[in-house]
Amino acid sequence: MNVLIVGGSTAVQPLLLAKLRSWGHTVTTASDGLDGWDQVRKVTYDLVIADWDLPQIAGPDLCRMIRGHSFAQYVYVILCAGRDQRLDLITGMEAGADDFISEPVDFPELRVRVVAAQRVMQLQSELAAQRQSLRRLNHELTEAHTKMERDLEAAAATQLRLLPTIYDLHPRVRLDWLFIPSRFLAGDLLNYYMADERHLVFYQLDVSGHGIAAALLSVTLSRILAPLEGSPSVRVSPIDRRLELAPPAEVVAELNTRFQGEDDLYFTIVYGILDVFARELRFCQAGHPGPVLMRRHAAPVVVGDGGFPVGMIPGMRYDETILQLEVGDRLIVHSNGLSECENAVSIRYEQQRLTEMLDQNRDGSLEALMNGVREALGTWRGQAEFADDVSVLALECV
Amino acid sequence: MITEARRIGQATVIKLFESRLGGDIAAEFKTEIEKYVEAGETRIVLDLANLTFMDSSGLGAILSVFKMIGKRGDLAIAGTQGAVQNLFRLTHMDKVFRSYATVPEAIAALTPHRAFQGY
Repeated sequence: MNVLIVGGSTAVQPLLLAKLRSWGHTVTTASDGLDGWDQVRKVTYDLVIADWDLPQIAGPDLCRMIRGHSFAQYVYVILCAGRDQRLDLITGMEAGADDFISEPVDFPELRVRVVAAQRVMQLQSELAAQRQSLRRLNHELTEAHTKMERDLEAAAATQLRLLPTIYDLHPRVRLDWLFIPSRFLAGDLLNYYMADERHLVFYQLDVSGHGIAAALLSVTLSRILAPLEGSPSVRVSPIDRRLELAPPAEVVAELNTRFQGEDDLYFTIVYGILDVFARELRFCQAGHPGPVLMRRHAAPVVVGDGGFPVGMIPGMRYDETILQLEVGDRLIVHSNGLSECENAVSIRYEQQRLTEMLDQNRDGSLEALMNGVREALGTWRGQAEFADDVSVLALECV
Repeated sequence: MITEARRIGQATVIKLFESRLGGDIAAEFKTEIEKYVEAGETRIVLDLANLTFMDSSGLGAILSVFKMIGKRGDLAIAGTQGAVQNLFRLTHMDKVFRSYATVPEAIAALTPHRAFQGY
């Protein structure tokens, strides 16, 4: 250890110096408290042995100054009481001394006290090393976490590009949608397309949970639902070998077969087909909130009888709801990010409020309706960040 | 621990303390019930009376428990209310597992242990 002896009578100091050196320590001396204070700030000492009575600055005061100063490492202090002095343990300890000796110095006793000091200093340095390494690890973790967050945010932005960009697919139908992504990757998805000159296919789905697995499943589903051969959305006609649309319930049943996996990774969906000329709409609702039907001259109602989520239990039967729509009728499909959206005091928006709000906004265009939903939900939420994706798909017969 | 189990006759009644079952505690919930099942408690009544809200992860966890018990035993759910009941209805889970208003009703609905038939 690097030891500093402060003070000490001319008789004691040389002996103390010699003993400490013989035990393998590097020893420096200071003549008084002021000198000791100067030295202690210049060089890193492990151990300071200071006399109680020192000119300029007394031992306990020096000790207090050491404790009040910020050193690179801990400094172990032993106070040494003079020959005629009663050792004032309380004053010494309150000043921050670690140990005490008194003159005449009992050297075997001093030796074990110094060994104890060495042990404490060893522990101190191990602790400091651990703290250092923890600090480094923490820094690495923070960096990795920041990078991951950035990646997830970039992925969420990319995911938004899967959303439809065309609104005028057919003169007999109007379409609009709303998508408020949660801050991190989530699993909502919606899309629609004209499969032929009279059939509009639309779907909206919500993968359970959040994060990479959920997002990847949602992206996979968008790919697999594109009406290409091999997709559950189409089948090959036995008559002319051409691709024809599969009925919604069959599409969902096939998805359920293909996507059996982990229990907590499944999705809910509303998948439908609208015949834009006959205005017949059929949809399959699988674990998804019931769509809201807004008849032109009636209050909005929730339609559908529910259904099993997809990918949870194999071999389930799915049903279809069939609606005969009229000109001006609208169907609003939405994810549970809407009905479960919580305000500042954790009250959920609920379907009831949703249908009432839709009713209040019924007079304008579809676009105005979507803006109304966005505004109402934003007000309800009261903050920019949403806990879950909020998505709405709206269609209207023209 | 977010659950507590007690034995009533041949049934193990597992009570969930939480009022929300979501993604944050779904795994813990599953692990705790897994322990009871591993310990041989396979005729289970899940008491969800405290539960006021469950999200999609929570539903996945309950289904997972249902599959875990599978043919080894039997599961009935008790005390579901409000939003939880609505979610069961919406997702047709009320057709998958049996759900009762009270714990005694759920216990009564569990299939009895097959009686010893003799050699």
